[in-house]
Amino acid sequence: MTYTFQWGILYEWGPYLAKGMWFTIVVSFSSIFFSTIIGLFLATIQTFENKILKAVSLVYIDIFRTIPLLCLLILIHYVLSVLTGISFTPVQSAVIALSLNGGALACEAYRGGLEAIPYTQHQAAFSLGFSRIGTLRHITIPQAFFSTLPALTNVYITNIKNTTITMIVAVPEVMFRAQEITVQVFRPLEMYTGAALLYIAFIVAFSYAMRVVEKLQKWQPI
Amino acid sequence: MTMEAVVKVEKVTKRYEDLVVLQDISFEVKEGEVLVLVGPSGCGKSTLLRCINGLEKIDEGQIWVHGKPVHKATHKELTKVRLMCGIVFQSFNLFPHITAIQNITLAPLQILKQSKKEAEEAAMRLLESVGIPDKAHVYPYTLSGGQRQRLAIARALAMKPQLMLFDEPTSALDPEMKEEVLNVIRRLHDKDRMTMILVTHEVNFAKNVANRVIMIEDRGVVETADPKTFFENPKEERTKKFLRHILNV
Repeated sequence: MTYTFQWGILYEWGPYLAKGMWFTIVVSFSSIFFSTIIGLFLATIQTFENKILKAVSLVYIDIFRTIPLLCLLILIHYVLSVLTGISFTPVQSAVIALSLNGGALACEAYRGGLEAIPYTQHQAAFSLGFSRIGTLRHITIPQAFFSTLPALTNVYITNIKNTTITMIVAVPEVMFRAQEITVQVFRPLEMYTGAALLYIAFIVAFSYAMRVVEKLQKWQPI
Repeated sequence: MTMEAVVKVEKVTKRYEDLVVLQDISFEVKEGEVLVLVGPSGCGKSTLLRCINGLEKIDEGQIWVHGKPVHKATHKELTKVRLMCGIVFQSFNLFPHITAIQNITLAPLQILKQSKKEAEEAAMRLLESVGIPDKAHVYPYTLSGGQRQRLAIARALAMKPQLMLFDEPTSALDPEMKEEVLNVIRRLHDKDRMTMILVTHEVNFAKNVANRVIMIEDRGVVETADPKTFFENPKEERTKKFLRHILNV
């Protein structure tokens, strides 16, 4: 077992590999954005008394939390276009699939945060004349925001890591490029190590930034 | 009709599933009157208060607040009723994520659509009247229990209610803090002639401030009397027993 590493290959191909980071960032941040909105919306309608809205939310979660992402991505990018004629670019398909999946995960994070708020907060809000929506907007969601952050960070990191799957629909992000170069130069160990390092750096920076946001909380629960 | 009832409770029954909490309760509170509800814990006093501003639904009977039927109010009408009743809870229920002054101004800004300046000036006046103007910009977790409850009273008053409901406002407080909260409530009575319904075990306070005391036990009204008679010369055996109990503690 002798394998001679040739890290020099990264010097040559590294910049090309790193440029894939741009797609990783675009796809992951867009899907983080949409996951947040979808998740918040689903968690909100779950708190309503309306049974239909509640059911919509639950069914959504059952579907999009359980379909394997790879399967979902292929369905959206290839199957949907065959069936309906609507076709998306690889980046669009990737963002849609990751958002649908991330939304289901984010909803569960929000639900935990919202359910942790004592009912007495609702009572206080109602007695001051707030409606259900007003209570969510001004009292419960702002309070749940910080307690949800650690769980939400996990969802977001999952979103970022899941961008690697988008190579299957040819989004030219880091993982896709690592494979592309490997086929040409036959240095898989070096190329995938390089790709891993890029992901690690990005995710460490991201989670550090999230921890900074967590520290912005100026109040304490009473 | 100058002495129209502010609150009219008629034959109210409240159940939780099969458990009857209140049965056939009736009473009236007139403008400027202070009604004190007493009774052993778990007798439904707090539930009754929450029924008056519609936080809890009643199963039978009628509740009228300023002529508005709470028992058959729609969501919108219920909001109107709640704007007329301020409620103060045993556990304060302040909003922990915003500062003291924001706790007071949140509802006037969002619900009454007051301007920021107007709401903040009114809030400062309220903070002064409850004695904590220096705490305007701190978060609730930094306040003592007594300060928290005074802030909760100010928050309720900011909505200019015509009726105040107090649900054991001093039960969660240390003795020295009880007094500062009771003083604020006493002033609401003396100065503003506020109509109030209080659930409290503070006998001395009830004697001084209440116009009427109602004892509730076993789901119903046991005795209604003026405070002097109630505390010094009660008729009912159950009232005597209850008074012996709380005065010994």
